[in-house]
Amino acid sequence: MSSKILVIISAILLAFLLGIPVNAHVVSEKEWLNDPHDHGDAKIVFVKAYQFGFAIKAIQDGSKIIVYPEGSEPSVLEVEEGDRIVFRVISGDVTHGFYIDGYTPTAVGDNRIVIEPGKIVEVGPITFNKPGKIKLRCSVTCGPLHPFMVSDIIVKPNIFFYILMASTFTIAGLTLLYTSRAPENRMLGVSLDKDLDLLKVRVIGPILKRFLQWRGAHFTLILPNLLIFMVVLAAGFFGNPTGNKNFSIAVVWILWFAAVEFLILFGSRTWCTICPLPAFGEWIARRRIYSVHNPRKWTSLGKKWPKSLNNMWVSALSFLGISLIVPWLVTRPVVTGLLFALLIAIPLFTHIIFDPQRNFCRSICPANGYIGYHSNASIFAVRSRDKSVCDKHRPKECIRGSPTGYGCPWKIYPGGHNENTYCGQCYECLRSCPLDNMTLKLRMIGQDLAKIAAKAKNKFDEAWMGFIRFTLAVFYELVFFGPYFWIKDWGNMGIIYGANLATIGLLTPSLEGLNNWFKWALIVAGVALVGYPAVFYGFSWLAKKLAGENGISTRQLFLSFSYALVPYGLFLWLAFAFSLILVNWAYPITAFSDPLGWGWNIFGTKFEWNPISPEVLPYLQAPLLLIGLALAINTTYNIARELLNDHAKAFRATLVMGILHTMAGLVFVWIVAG
Amino acid sequence: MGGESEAIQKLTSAIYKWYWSRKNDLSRDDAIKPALDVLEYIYKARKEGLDKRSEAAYCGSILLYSVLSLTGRRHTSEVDEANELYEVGKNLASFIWDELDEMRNDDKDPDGLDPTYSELLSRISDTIWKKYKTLKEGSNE
Repeated sequence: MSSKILVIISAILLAFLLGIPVNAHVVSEKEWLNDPHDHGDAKIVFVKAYQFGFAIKAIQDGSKIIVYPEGSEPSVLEVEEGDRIVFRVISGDVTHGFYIDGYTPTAVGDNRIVIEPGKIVEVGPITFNKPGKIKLRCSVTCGPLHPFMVSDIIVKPNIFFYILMASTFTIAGLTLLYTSRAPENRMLGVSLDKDLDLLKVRVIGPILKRFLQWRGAHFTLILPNLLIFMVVLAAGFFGNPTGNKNFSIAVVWILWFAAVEFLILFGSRTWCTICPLPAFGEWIARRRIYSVHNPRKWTSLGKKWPKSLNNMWVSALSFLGISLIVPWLVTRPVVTGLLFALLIAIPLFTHIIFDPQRNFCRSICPANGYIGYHSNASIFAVRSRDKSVCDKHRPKECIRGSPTGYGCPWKIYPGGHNENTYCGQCYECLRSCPLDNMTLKLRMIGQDLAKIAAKAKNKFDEAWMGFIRFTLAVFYELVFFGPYFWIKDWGNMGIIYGANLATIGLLTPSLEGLNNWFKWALIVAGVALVGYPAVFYGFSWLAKKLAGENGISTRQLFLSFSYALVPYGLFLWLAFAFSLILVNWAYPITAFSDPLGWGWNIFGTKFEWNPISPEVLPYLQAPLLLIGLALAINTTYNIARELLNDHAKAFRATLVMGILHTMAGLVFVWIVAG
Repeated sequence: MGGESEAIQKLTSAIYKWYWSRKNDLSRDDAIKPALDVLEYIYKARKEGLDKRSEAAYCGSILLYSVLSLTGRRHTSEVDEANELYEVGKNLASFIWDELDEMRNDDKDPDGLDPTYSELLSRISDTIWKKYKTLKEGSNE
């Protein structure tokens, strides 16, 4: 009884503070549906919150009530602009929160709308006066998938969606128009021949050069990250089993996962510079933490790294594999802990057994593969200042090593390379080069892409990395921030528990859960590995026909054109990163003060979940999508020009591939705004 | 001995060009340091059982970096300097490695290589120092 009074008091307080009335009283689910209240001209929407979604059970408009049968409740609520809606909400299981982007108050403290089991909470009436798509979110931690417990509300007419669709067509059309004017080696009007030697920039250049040429630089950059990894392991195994309260989940899968996409765009492989995963193996193999070994004796059996692994297949497929269990990985600390333990053990093993170079990073690491792939769209690169100097220079210290630096651990020839794919930015070449011919360059996105794509003869691994990353960007947005509960549930194997090492047994799936997961895995892997590549191949064939080019095989066009997904995929992931970080920023910041989720506040950075203007998210995501689309079309043209050496043919091929890129863009538009 | 004189001839000519000619009044230790760095490294590398070819090539870089450091530089803008010192250092290291092998095969030093190495070191150091003095005197005249 007292709790009932408390709820009523807090509801009245909330109504007073915000002008949105919230009432709560204890009733059964039957009463909830069979005793509709009269709210004048306001529609009443009966919402049932459950782990981890919202189901619209009934909508009452005046005296008319539509009740949706169990299992066929819509996940998306559609209302007209100006509609007044009262939400009558109950919880089907545990305590949930109720937060509508831009309409309900901040989700902090007493302002938070809490839905306790067995009680009805009335929220509203809310007048939906801004057309568009907004999210209904849970604002109280309710279990492992809580951060992704969302549903959509579409306020019609959804003008933004139509504007975004029109913008997609317009941007595609304008980019095609631009390419029709035969731009030579340019990207969206910017020359691809120019770049900036960062180490020659006044003040910053010499400081940066001095730091990077210092042997302790790499170790200094790795060290803080190494400590973070140790905390990730500890938190993963022994911390709070609920993901968003655990450092391993909040920092790795919210902060890092989003930040790494921005790092790729602005810093290429900067993540690989500071990644501590291969550090233990490297230190043991070199018998040194940061200095150059003398004599050059390695602690390693030195077995030859299998040639068949010198590609991106393992990385690409392991990224896909991890994505198939991603609802577990990003919400269950123990799964993250186990993955990290494995990712530390494998490079240790590869350094000791095989030639002690970055074989793990090059060929196995699931993150490295996509970071390397998308790094080719980065504005940052490690390059030689003058290739002809490197050609004349016989010793090639960048490969062999010198007393001041190791030979390239990534097994490339830094002096001559023109792609970021396998350059791990360890900066050993900057230290080992006696001619001071290695530098960092700032350049336009896609500077080397056309050349890389044109010479990609059998690089199916890189093509499929592109397809996997591109399609998964769409899936991730759909799974984590889409309204469809079933897709989350299938990937999640229907399990509602979080887990650390002590409670790992709770993750045992039921047969039905496993069955659903197989269906989910089949859909995701099918689209990524077969569906989209097949469509892409079909369009490549059409492009060849329309271009009237017989000298180049469809296979070659297919492989080369797939590199347009390097910038396109990256920008889709940037759009996804915005959803992740703007909505969930409070979790990682809090996790630094309370890494194990035990209620600490070490650095005073404990925050309650409170998204930063989530209603503007689509407006941030849309430009990224459109830039990605324009870059993809221009990249396709540059590739076609490099391959076909004829503007008219290149333009016709670009036109066909442009249609495909536009269609793919529309799918993303539909997910974020439709 | 023919191989030794040839290797040292090339070495002294290269380090004269890129090092001795740029510095005046070098002490014996400073004058012979680039060669000693190579000798010291190749001796250790051989003792550790490393690969001769790759370590001899590495000695080319050791010679270059030794010269750079003794002339107060971290880098060079001369590709010719880098190439020449690399070749000379590589040849010297390769020659020393073979010499040490031969001494061992001749059973001159059944208990270990150290005395033979010391002997070789002192012989080469003397030759280089003499060459330095000759070249410097020649250039002063």
